[in-house]
Amino acid sequence: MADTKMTDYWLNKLIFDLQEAGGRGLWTDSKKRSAFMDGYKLSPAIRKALIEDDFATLQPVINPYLMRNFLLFCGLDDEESKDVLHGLHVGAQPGEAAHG
Amino acid sequence: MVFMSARNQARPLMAKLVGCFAAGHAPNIARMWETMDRKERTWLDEKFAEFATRVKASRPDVLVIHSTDHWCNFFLDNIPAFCIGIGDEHEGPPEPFMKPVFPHETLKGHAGLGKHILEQAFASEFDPSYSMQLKLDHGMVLPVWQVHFETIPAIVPVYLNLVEKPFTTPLRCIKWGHMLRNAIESFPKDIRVAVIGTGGMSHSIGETTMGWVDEPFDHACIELFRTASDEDLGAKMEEMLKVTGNGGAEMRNWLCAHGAAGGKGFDLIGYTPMPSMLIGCGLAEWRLSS
Repeated sequence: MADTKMTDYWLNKLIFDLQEAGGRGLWTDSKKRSAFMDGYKLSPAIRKALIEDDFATLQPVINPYLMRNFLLFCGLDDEESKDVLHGLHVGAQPGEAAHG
Repeated sequence: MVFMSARNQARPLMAKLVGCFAAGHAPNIARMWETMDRKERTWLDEKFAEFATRVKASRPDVLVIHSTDHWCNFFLDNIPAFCIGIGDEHEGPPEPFMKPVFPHETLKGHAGLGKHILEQAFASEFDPSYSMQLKLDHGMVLPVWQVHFETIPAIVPVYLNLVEKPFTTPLRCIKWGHMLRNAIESFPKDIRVAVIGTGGMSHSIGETTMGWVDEPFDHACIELFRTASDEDLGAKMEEMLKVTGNGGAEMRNWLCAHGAAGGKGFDLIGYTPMPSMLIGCGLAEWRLSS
């Protein structure tokens, strides 16, 4: 079955760049977060989800490995990250049958 | 170094494949090295010590390491399926959690062997990309750290895209291993080369099953490495990877080492599910004399 979900380029670019731009220190500061987002061509829905930590909207369009880093930048440890992700587990598929 | 043949013609000694190995590379092994559960630390100490003994016993001059790029070198604007590092030097790991345990700003490369592998790959109908300037992330160097070399051998890194689909097939990784062995053994320098595949075994990262360690998958992989033909191994892995966590994709790195070893001699050094490290942790050697 074809994979119909698409990775959001600019959202992932933002997270990719966060790795060297300050990570958690930058992202958990709301003013810095907002200013940082201005550098990326984010759709209004994605920008709103980033401001609101709406992981249900973000997770399907973020690469999983970047999602793991993003949750760390949001201040969540492994257990908290698992809790967030497991809470989104509705009809999701693991592995290579799923969104990559 | 040369020797004289019966016809009195000088012929260079070729490089020799002296070892094929695999080991997990979970970031938490570095992050939590001093704080992890005592029982897990003891297991890792013992198994990595055995891994280190075996790697050192092979006395490698060069390590050809296969790993995943964890978004340190490549992004969605350009992701190679395979990328060979052909630089004389590489950058050390950029991740902050690696700095305390492996504080190397640079690591020595082997441009000559890297270029030779690149040329042999093209001659064998592979089309890898290449780079003269790669960062060697935790996936490349965590097992190197755990060997505790007195002098770290030169490294030829081979990055596979195993983070953003589509991925190269498992069977193609085995064939890559065959190509790699031919490349090593046709390199006209008297050097000893070990091949390492890193990562795995099962894990689930950043997806809704994060933390899942799929023990049946791991045991099935171990059995396949021991007994399956290349074709069966490739076909079965292809199916198994569809229904396990996304980190299982890194078993392709093991398949490259398996192919280089000729598909024989798999010897498990150790396996245990390690949920706090977020992986099924496996280490192995392929006995080349088998």
